[in-house]
Amino acid sequence: MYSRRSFLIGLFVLAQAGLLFRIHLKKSGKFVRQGWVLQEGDV
Amino acid sequence: MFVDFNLSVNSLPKSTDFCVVGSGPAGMTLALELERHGRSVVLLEGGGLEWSPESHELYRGDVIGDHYVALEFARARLLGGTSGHWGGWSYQLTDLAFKKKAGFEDAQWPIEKKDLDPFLPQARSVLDIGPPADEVVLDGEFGIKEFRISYSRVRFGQKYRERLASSQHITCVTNANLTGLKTDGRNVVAATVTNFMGQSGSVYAKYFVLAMGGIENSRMLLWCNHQANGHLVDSRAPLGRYWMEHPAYTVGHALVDLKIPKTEYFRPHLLLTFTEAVFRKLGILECSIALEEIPSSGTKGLLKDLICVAPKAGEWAASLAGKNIVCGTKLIIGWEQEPVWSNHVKLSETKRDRFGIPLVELHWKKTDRDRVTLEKALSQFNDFLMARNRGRLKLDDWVLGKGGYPASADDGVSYHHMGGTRMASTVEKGVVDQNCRVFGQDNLYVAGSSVFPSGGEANPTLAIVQLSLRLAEHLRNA
Repeated sequence: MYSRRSFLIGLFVLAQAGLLFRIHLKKSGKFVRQGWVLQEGDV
Repeated sequence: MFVDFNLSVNSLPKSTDFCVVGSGPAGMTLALELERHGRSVVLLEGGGLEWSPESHELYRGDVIGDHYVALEFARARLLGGTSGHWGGWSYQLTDLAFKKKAGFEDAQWPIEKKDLDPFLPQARSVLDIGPPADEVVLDGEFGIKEFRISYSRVRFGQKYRERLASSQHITCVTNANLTGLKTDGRNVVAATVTNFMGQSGSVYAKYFVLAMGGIENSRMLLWCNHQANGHLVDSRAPLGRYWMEHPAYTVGHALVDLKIPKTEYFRPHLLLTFTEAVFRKLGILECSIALEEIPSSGTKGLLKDLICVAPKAGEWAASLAGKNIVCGTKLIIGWEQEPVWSNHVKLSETKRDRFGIPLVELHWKKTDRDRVTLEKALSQFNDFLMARNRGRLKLDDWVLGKGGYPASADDGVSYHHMGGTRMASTVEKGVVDQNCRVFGQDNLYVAGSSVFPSGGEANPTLAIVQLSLRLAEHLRNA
């Protein structure tokens, strides 16, 4: 089980790199192209 | 009546029921409400009837941490306080703002929204506004709500100047800068005020209320407590701590198939937020999303760009544009900052003002969880747009990059200064109790957004006025 400290450090790494948003996109089949947030069928 | 303390240093009233320090929305509302019930008030204003450089410079200070605007430009020091240059956006704090939120133990009020609700109609009257249109749930599954705000044009120093001038019960003393509070250990006995020539006098009152603003309330309590060798504020209280803003950033642009309402004083914009259930599911504090209409040339530019990058999405948007449905907007997200101990108001150790009082040093940083709020809100809104085919977002580079936040002009700044003398049930968690009384004194109170334990998503002035009306009722019955 993660400790609160490990959890917060993990959150820090994700949040700092804008990764939370990117991971969310990847999981839901979306992607970013030249700033536009797109999904399959858009291109 | 008005007294200019620069001109008549010996004309302070000998005694009064209430001494209110600060004539912004918090102090002015309180003074006028006490007057309405026949109580005598000395209303002290550090500035004059108009802006002056010598008053303005007293608001200088340093910000340690994240990018912020110069503190002397983030507030106004004259009759009416910062309402002299506010935007007038008025919106109620939500139910959720007051409640306990899992994982955010310190973002909770010791009172509930229903404790402020009785003062809402009168607060709106003070601000010359009506109730906004009802909220509309745009999408139940995604928990997206449209909300409207009311726009106040009230400048307190202008609107209420004549009433103060003709008042039989309020003596408004301008150019009267609070420089000390004398306490006998349990009660404040007198407030020391000093004019811009360095001459001082004392105000004696049964009750004292600091309504000096979201930074100065902390600074002056810290200073007066220091002068009183720590006998003014209970030493366990987190004085100056948990200071907050509403971080707000332009995160990009959008092409949306959503109706952008026209507004009375500003460019057309659509304000969105989430339902309480969604905030709780996402595990974030409150936020708002503003879609601000851009000129049609901007919309055309976005369309061309989208057609190049994603032809099918571009075709869809262009077909809607032909029917005048799609709209190009700027995308702005603002949110409730997590209240944390480390964000605080401190007295400078090296810089002092003309009265020998340390200047303010504001230690302020957004936390990682603040960034999580931004990103999860963005994800939820994007999911809604895509699932319902209501639009596409084009995000600025910094949102997905590693460079943190933009840091120029007033990026990230809402000019909402909250916390520092937060309200709590216990002294370990707050500086004032549920009635805004300072822990450690029986007759010293604080009014204004410095008592907010959490900021919610609403612009604070309406809640400030509600709290002052509530405080007036408490003091009338004290």
